[in-house]
Amino acid sequence: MKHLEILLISMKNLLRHPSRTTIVVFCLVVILTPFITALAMLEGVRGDALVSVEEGADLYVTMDMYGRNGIIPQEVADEIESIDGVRKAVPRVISRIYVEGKLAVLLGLPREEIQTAGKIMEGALPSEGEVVVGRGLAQALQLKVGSNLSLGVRVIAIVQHSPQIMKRVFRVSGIFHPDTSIWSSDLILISLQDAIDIYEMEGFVSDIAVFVEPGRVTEVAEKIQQMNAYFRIQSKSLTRQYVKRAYSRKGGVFTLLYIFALVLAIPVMALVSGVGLRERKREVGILKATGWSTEEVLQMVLYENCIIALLASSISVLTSYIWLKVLNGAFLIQVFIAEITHIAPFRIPSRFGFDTMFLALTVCLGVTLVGSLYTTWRTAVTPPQEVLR
Amino acid sequence: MSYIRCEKICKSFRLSRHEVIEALRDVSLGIERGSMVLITGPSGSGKTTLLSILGTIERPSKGRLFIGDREVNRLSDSAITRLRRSTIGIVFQEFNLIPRLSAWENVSYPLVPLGVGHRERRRRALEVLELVGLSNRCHHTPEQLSGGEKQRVAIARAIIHEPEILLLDEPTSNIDRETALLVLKLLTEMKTSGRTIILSSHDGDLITEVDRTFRLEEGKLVDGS
Repeated sequence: MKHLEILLISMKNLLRHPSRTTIVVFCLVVILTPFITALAMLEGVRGDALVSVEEGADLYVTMDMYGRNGIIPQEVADEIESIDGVRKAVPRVISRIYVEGKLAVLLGLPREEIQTAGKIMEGALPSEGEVVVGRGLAQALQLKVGSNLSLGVRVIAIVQHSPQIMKRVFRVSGIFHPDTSIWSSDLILISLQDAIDIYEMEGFVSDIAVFVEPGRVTEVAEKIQQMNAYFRIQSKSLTRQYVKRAYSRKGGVFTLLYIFALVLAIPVMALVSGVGLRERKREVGILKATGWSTEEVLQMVLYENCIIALLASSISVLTSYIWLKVLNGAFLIQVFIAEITHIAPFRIPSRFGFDTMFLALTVCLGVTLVGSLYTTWRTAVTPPQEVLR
Repeated sequence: MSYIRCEKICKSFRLSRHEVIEALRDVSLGIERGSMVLITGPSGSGKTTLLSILGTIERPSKGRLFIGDREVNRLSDSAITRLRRSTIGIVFQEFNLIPRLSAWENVSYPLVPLGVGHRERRRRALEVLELVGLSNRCHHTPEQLSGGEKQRVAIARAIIHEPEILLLDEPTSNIDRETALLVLKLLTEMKTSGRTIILSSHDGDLITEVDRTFRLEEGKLVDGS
């Protein structure tokens, strides 16, 4: 009964000081919203990346070239496909490519694999001499279905320190749907043979994606390795680890920077929540003089902070949700995804998990408690008459 | 043995590194249970300080205070709080009501730590406000009340938990003569219910019906008739 009464009094205290309560909640929301938005976005991007990994091949095979991944003969795909336990082996050409100064990803797939590559918003899948481009790239280069896109093939000469590049022109046959995974945003999808022609690597591909029957990955990997000691095999679990590590690092750096910002914000919060501190000190003195214990006074302040934290974190999560779902994470997404300037041309993935909500609440509570609990405790342990004097 | 006993109580306040004020010097006195006592003396003689020490809201620098069989100096902060919430009611000279709270809320707050529910708190607050003649002002905040009304709200707050000891600091100084007489009549009625009432006043003209008067001068007890 006593605790409930104190809780009710805490709620009334907040209502008795509406402007102070509003300012504190507003400050917390301003501090917290970018943090929650970034975390939700990071979780979404990481989740999407992991889904892509899960949907991808079980093994990726390349050749060792000076300790790095190198091109591999295309015919190896047929040999791998003949191994017991392999469902299919897909030769691919995958490469970074600059198109009119913009970085893109070029992916060359056999015709039968292109059908499953992504959802096309408009146009059709590419035939020979055609490409399908991602929404981001289409917007950046103002490409439409039917537009021409010239891709640099190779350096043919150096004139006055400037490389002269031989180019080949392709017709844009389609554009990926914006809801397709973010990885398709800057993608150029092309037939395998066209990709091989671009890089003039006849008979070679950049890797072979191997799809294996469930539970036979290790066994198949060992058999591939036995085929040639110079094969480099990358498993799904290794790719998954790379993805997790990459985004944990990005998230970690962001969190670290944000914690630093929060530490700087604490004095501001203390100042804001200390508005009316003299009145609060006097109130604590009166309560103590009329029989309230230090613990009961602290309990009241704790409840006030909990209510404020709950309110501020809920509003922050809601604001973050709007920021991501309506504003598509504008002005924040470039921190996490390279080559995007302010506004993403595709739907930003996001996830609001329980841990995000919990973190929001904890940060709010931490900031408000640091700003108020210590000062209240100092007042509460002082003899009341000293406080009231 | 007296119900409340002070033994050589001293209280000093440090104003700066070199300046210390001796507010009370070796004050020893005894107060019987159920009596009404007046502490008098000129301004700055230490009346409020002594009352604060008796009310356990101030700790003495030296000396011992006994309430019943408990030596207050030896009690922990939480034990003193328990003693205060069960035994003592204080009416401050400046009333010390919480602004923005209504009269009945101010009166009922001492019941919160005792675990009394909202409805019961309200009922008892209205009861004591009626006792001090303020039932019609129960929803008014302190700034909407006159000095005399604030005084009576403060008295209501001090008695709501039915304390054995009631301390009033200058109860007649901030109110007009008519209200002062009304308050004193109320106190006399309370005394008959067995409470120990301790009042402080620089001018004890109005307060005549007391069992004992202690006079303080420059922090020293000069008369305890």
